[in-house]
Amino acid sequence: MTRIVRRPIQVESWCARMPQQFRDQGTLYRVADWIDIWREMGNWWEGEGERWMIRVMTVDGQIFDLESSDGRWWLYKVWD
Amino acid sequence: MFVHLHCHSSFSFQDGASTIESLVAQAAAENMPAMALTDHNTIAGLPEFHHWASVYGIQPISGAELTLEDGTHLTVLAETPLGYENLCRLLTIAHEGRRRQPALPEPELFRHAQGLIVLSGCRRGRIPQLVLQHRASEAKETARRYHERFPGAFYLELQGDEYPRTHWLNRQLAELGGELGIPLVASSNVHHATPEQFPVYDILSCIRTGITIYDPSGERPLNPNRWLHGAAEARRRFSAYPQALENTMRIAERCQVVVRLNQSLFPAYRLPRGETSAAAYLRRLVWRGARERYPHVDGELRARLDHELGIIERLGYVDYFLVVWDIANFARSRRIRYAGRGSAADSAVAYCLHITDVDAAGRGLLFERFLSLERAEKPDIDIDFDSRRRDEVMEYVYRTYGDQNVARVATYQTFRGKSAIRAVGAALALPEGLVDQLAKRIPWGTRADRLEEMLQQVPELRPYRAHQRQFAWLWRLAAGIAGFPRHFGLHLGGVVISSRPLFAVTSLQPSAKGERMIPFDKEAAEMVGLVKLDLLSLRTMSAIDNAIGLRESQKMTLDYEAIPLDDQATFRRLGRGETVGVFQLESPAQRALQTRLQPDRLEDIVASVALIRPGPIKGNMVDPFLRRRKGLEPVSYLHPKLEPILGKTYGVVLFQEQVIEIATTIAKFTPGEADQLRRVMSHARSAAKMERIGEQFLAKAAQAGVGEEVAKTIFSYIQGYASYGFCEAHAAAFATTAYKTAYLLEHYPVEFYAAVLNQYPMGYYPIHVIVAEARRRGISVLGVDINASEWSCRVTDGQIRLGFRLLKGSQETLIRTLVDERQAHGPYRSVFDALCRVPQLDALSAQHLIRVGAFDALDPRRRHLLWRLPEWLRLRHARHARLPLLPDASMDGEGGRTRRDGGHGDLPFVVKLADEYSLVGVGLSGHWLELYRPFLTQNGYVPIRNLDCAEDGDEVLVAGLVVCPHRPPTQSGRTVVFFSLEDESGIVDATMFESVYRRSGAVVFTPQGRIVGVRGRIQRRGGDRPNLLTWEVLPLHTGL
Repeated sequence: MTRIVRRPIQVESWCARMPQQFRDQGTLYRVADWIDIWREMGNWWEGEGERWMIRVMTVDGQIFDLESSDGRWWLYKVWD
Repeated sequence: MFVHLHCHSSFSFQDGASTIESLVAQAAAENMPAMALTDHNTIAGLPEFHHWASVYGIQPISGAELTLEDGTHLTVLAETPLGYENLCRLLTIAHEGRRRQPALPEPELFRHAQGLIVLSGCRRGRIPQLVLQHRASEAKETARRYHERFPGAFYLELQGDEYPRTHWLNRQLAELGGELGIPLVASSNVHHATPEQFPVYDILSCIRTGITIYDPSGERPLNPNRWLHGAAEARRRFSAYPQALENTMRIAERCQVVVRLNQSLFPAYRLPRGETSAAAYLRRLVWRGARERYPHVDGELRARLDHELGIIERLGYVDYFLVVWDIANFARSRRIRYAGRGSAADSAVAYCLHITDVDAAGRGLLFERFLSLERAEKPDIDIDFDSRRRDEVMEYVYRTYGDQNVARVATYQTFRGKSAIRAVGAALALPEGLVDQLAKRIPWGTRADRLEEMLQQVPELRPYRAHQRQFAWLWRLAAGIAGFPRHFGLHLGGVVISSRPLFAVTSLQPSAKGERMIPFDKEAAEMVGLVKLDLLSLRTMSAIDNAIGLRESQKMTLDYEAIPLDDQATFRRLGRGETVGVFQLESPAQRALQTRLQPDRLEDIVASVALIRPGPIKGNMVDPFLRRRKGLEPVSYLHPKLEPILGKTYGVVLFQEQVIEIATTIAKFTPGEADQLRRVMSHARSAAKMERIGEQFLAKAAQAGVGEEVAKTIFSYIQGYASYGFCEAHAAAFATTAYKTAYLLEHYPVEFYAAVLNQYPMGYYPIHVIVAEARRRGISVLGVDINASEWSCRVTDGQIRLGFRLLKGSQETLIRTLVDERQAHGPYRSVFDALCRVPQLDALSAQHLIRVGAFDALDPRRRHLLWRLPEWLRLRHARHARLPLLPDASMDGEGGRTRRDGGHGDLPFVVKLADEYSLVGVGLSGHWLELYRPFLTQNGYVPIRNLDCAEDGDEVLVAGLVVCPHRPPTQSGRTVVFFSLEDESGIVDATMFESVYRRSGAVVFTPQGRIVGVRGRIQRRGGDRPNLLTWEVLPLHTGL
């Protein structure tokens, strides 16, 4: 099961331009592994550009899809 | 270094967002030494690809992305010529019996594996699919099998598209490769030349899959990474797989250039027993034909034929002429009507071989316009055949030259203005009604990349300017797909005959009609050395034949071949502009020309055909020609040498042949050089090019002793000619047919109009105009009748009886059954009787027959018949199923009118007309304008017939149906609208200038403008026929 949430998060540390830990609604998540990374084009007809999507697994075994565009980060999808 | 080995162009049909040229140009800009073209299941783009590759200095690699039967993809490249042959075979097999959805059985792939290099394909390849589905062992087994089947020629394709799981997939494929010893190769699965073209690629994907941009779909691209990037970007994407990058170069080095351009693949003509030389045989046929064509073959004609034959022999086209002769000879022997046209009519040899009917020698036509040693182009001979019998000719060609060696030529339907608006508008999810209305109002033929401009220029698009912001993407994306092929079609008459079996030269695929066609259009076919013959079907030929048949069916004769070419009654009819239905001379512009020209000889018709073209109109050639022809302006020549060249056109440069002759006579150009000059002047708009040619002309003219000023003026004449010249031979070929159809119209109008209706759709006008013209000449046109009509229109007692064929959606087999039953067992007595005797007569067909009055003679109450029809259908079913019947169910159906119809009598006049116009295309009960007449009379409108008596300059007010409104190009560039107006009394041609068009006239191009009132002034412009100069277009508000 997945849930699309798309809420802003703060990425607090980095490794090779990849998020190493991020905070969502006050909770800090540490990234154990980057599972996948890909690029997606936004709604080009509305002027949106490309965004990076990164699927991560946190140290406590949770999987999240993070989205990055224009220097901002969102928690896009939660894998239950 | 890196080479793209997997690229899609617009020939991937809505899965490629770039033209071939732009892909090759981008590869060249990125300093790529080579690139491959791998369109989906086709090699259609390969000839063009090779052309641009040679222009940009890139090695072309030929390939295709094949779809296997399980729907998976495979990238296949031709390493050697044998590999190319195998690729062609595979594509042919993939298309066999699977039109539009080609799929290749895998065993065939392995059977024709030689000379091919196979890459495992994109994400939709079988191996990547199995890997993504975590079916590792099956993926491994498949990879092993391909590795064995394509030893040293199978690669695992890594993609650098940065899609989800791409990195993982590439790692898995790399591991698989390492385990099995299969090399890797890098690819970016290119679908567009630059990243900026991503929206075009996305919209094409939406169009292809029938979704909108708001619909998520796995068929849509996710990001713009599938572009034709350079080596640096490739290194970034495949930094973990350097070997995969290197292998792109190795494969490119292995691949040979397998498509050869400009070779000759025309077959040798199979000579009859005893003949040893094709050239000698051709000469014999030509001399024999000359004796048939001319009463006396003099020295001049002999020299001309020798000259032509010499050029034909030196250029190696003897076999070509023999083949064309053979086909024409077959048609003659079977009495299939035909006429050769185009520049081939410049050839006296073609005339003597009975390929054309234009006496090129007699008319002094220039053979070099058709063929010349310097130009050494492939000849292009077009022959029009009776459309009903053209397939017999095609069958003969297949039979004689071999099924394996003959195929039809493809054509591509491309995105133009209207189609692009509809497709892109739907994909952008714009309101359907808005898109539909917009598309309807876009002028026909508008290019998809000129739509935004049109919005500003065309008045009937004015209401849409408010939507400009909403349409911003529509214009941009429509421009992005302008000219892209949408799907394959069958060329109207193009057929290629090859010396080699075609499967070794190209792939083959079935057309909608089931004929085998090559995937190349005319130009691409010629590029690869295939010579195209145009065996066209012309409905005019069928109409002529049909008119003769109708005459003969009345036990009277009509010898078409013996029609005199100087019949003054025919010329007088032409001079009155009464030419609706006449081949090439029926448009309003032609009719107006005829009234001013007052033709009295065939030469006038030849000139007419050439004059009413965009070029002469834009070049203002019409008026000078007419003034000189009528003696209102002196005919003078700048140089005595011009008189024999321009004499027949009164000193006006009208034909392409004349330009060539001027250049050869005045400036001593060789015929080939002169034709080159003609071509540059016809096609080039570059001032620099024109200047260079001018300098060459002046220099050569000076050498030939022509004074500088005279030479300059002569050059200005032919310069003014640029773009509008017409081939005299072509005009002469058309003019003969045009005159003869005019003769039929003059002397056999009943048969001729009936024949024209039988060939509908043909010509310029809708059915109601043809019928109106026939009625105007006093011919009764009787409606469709269940007991009197046949499939085709026929002639009885000097009247035309309309045939069932004109009825929308009518099926010939059903109608034949209906007529056969009538002939066998007598006339039908009622609708129910017809239903019972012809069980195939379904509800819709019966309804249509009632609606157009086919049962009026039995019972004129159409509404009543329609009301009872469902009951009769049920009754028929019950009878058939032997079910019990209600006592009086069929009473009314059996002919009695006793049953109560619940007040359902006849339909109102307006409904009858609506039915008749929509189902037959003409009012049978009356005319639309009869409905408006009381209002019109009350408000000062006069019937169109009255305009015949109106004086030049009279102001009039008329109303009618708007017929064929169009905006041809004009000399000034300003818009002039021409249309005809038809009411119940007649038809008048109208002209509307730009100011009126902008103020009130745009409505004639909209559905609301089908019936309008027009205030204007009568003009006769030197002829008898009135023309209406429009001042104002008035919508009719009558409360109808």
